[in-house]
Amino acid sequence: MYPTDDTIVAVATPPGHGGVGVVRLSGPGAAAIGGVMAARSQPWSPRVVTRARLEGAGLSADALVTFFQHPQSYTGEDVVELSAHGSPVVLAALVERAVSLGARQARAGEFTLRAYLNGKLDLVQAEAARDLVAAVSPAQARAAFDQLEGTLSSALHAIAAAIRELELKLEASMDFPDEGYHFIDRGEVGPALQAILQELSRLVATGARGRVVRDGARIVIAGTPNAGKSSLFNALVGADRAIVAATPGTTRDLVTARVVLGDHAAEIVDTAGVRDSSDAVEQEGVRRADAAIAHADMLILAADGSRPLSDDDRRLLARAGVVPVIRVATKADLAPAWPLELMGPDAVAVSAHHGIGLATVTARIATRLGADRGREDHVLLTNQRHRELLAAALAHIGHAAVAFEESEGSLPEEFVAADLQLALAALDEVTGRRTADELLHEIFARFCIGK
Amino acid sequence: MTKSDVIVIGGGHAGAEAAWAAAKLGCSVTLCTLSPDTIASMPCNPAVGGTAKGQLVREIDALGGLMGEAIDATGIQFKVLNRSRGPAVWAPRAQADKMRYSTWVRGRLESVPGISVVQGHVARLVVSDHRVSGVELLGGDRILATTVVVTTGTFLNGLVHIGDVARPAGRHGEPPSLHLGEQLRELGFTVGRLKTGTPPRLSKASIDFEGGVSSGVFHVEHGDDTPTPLSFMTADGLTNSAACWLLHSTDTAHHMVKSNVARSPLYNGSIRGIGPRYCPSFEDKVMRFPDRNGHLLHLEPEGADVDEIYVNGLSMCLPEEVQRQVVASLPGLAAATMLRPGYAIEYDFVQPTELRPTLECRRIAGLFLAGQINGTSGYEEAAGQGLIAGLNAGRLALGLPAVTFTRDQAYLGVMVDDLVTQGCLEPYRLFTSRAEFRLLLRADNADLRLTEVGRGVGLVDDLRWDAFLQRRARLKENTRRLTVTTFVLPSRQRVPAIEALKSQSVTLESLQQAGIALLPASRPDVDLTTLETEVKYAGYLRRQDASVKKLAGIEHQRIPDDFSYQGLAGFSAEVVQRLEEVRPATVGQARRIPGLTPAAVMLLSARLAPTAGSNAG
Repeated sequence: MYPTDDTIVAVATPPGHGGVGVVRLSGPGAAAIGGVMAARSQPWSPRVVTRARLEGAGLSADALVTFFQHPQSYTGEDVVELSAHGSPVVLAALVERAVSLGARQARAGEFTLRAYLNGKLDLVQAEAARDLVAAVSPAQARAAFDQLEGTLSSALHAIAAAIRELELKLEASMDFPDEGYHFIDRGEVGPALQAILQELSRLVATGARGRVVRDGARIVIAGTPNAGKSSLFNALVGADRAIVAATPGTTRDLVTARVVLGDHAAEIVDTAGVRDSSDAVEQEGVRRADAAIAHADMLILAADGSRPLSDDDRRLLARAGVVPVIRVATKADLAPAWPLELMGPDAVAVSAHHGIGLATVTARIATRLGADRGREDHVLLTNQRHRELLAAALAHIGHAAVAFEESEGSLPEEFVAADLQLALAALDEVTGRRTADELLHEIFARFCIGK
Repeated sequence: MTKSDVIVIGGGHAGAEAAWAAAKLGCSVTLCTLSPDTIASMPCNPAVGGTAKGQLVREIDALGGLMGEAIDATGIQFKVLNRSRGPAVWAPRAQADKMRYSTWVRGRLESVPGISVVQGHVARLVVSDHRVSGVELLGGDRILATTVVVTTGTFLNGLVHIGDVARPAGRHGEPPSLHLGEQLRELGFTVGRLKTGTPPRLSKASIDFEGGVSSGVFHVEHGDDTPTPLSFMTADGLTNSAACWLLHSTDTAHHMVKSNVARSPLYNGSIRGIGPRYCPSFEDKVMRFPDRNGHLLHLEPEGADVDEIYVNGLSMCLPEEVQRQVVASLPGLAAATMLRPGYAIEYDFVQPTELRPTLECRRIAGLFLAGQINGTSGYEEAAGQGLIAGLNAGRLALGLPAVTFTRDQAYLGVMVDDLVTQGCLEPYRLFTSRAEFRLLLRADNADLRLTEVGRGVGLVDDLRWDAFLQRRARLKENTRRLTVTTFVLPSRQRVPAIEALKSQSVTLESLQQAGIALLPASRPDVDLTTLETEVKYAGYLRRQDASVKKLAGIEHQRIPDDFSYQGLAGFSAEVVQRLEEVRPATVGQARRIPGLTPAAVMLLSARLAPTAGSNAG
């Protein structure tokens, strides 16, 4: 566990050369250390950008320095940000100088951890900040940034608010039965539950797409032995990762590589050729290939275009599923043994060795990956923990809706409330806790309670 | 000079239960009261029970306390609220005969040889070296004791307001306690100021109830056809004859309040204490909710034979003549005589974060606080704390370990945990929504939750224990009978009766009508409710049990008394300050401190983990 009461320092901009590089100091000693570095005799004025000449480990640099007084800063602590020329050497020297003055080199994510501990970010935002830093594709960055901005938080808050509104009315009717108020009709409960169920389902359904954006789509290349899968894999990945040999059945294990195609991160998976085989090791490879195909987000089905289609080829090509499929005829540098249309209207002829058709395949993949973008509304469940908690909340609301309907509306309020509370507890784990007192406060603010 | 095991200061609902509980343990108890005539008096509404409070009274009763039996013996109208909303929120309530209630409790206390009632005004606590050793009365007499329970209600620096007249008083017409409040401040206690109020009382004889009902401005309310007792020990004999009347205030009355509101000490700045949001003054109702036409008012008798009506909902502190005009402007009350005006009272309370879950002060060993001095309101809340404080003061005096209750075990546990963890910003009242494991904390199963505990610590006598053992055996036998008997569903399918009962359309009553014989009970309401609830809602109860177990690890992880939060990595200065104010006994309690983030709780738990074993117990 990190100490969280000392002063930490790190380069806040990405590694490498840049126009501007930022070194950030956070903690109780930030103002003092920053003051020494900038040779400043007066106290800092918060949020005023000052020009200073910084002396650091044998180097000097011109910089713009800004002081943020706690709690009005990213971390909620005193923060000093030094913007200098984006040379790694200069920035490292500044960090070294800060360390010599008593700061500690921050570990990965430590600024965000402090922001979270000090209540500057909720858990969703803190997790998003981590994702944003780790993003390798524009779509990942966009989803993480939206979450950091609170887009997912506000979608969750809207659902939580709807659940709380229903719970508030039920709780009020149970705690204040003789106040002369009619807080809720039994007839309202069913539709309210259905509306919440619908919203929650919609959000949970973005989980699959969210996983693709955050973790990358799993694109599985499948085909019969020696169909040219590994050559295709290597060409798409751009490195000789998979062993390519002319003996059928060479790729017995799964080989994977992470790539960025267009806006999106993806994981390309090469599989063992699918065929009936007596070899035990190869059978295991085939079994794994089948599992990979079953869990794919997209399939590339490959067949050797230079040889007649076998029964195994036909069975595989006939495979229809819910995920998008790109059909590829390989070895296009050789004479085709069958017309391309036999594979389907969108089939692509590819030669991995001669670079034929590869651009078309990558373009197809990128288009398919981006195809759902319009429906996203910028809210995506990209985090596994969120997906599980929301699925739990969905299950509890579903339980309430079913129990209420089965009782034909006669289920006493407190049992509906019991499910709502469990659903809220799951949501609260994503967005932060709410207390019984806050619920009561809202009842008192809205209703004249007290006979 | 005399010496007792336990001294109880104050004879209200907290003081009465505290003295009773300590005496049950075998302690010698001195009860100091300003006047024995006001033991267990009800200065505000003439009722006991209601939502969450009814469950609490059942818990006090299950532990051998006084309140349940007292109200059953002296109540005049019995009702269970929330019948349609589920068994955990069913809330028994009774209108009380105030005089009889007070006399009954006084009689009980005086019947115990271990309790001596002393009439006297406690001037100060005898404290040395952070330990209390007795009290000093006005006039100089000292009474010594091992432990002291303070239950001074609204008397600490009490200030009664009616219009522009403010005079020091503990209750209307009774002297306040000035010295004790000063001493608590001197001892360093965090003392705050709260406000509460009470409505005017009317002459019963001056009100034409029949005329009001026939002209449609009054709506008469009776008790339930079959009255439900508050105590597990009451089989029958309840008086259920009294009526209450309901009416709505009108614009004339609201206008009267608005045009005189500058004369209300609540609105001219005289009152600085914070009042309860759930029990606002009539001034507040009119000013804060101007769009609500017609606030609900209840006319409730203060006793069977007294000429006094309590106007529930009309708490105010306007000048007496304005109150008279407001009353006269209400429908059906034009000719009513006002016997006493309503008033507001400000009083000192001690921030309950000063207390341990036993209600002993962390600051002064042997000193316990219970009731309104801890910032609560309500007879039931006071009585519950009195029982816990008396029990622990008695056990400490006898050298026995403390007894506390958990949030999944009793509303008593919810209340004390809320108080010592959150402190009070306004007078604290229990609500069922404060209990996260509400389905487990029902009025029908309070005995199953607590009587065995009460027996173990010496609060439950043989009579109650025998009755409880029989009741528990009946529950087991009846459950068995439902398991071995079958029942034909409307779908013609034959299933075990216990399975049939899980359907919403099948009730225990319908099973009995179909010939399934259950053991007769002296209290069918309790017996059958527990049986039916535990079968019909087994799934829900199991899930709450599972939630309790899921949290149990962190809930019961102990934090040593002398644990240092200073310099603990991961905690902001604010969090450290909150933790040091509250000094939570467990990580579970720390988790409920306002402002403590889940991350901070995780850090605390992790920090404690390596030493948890050596600190266990």
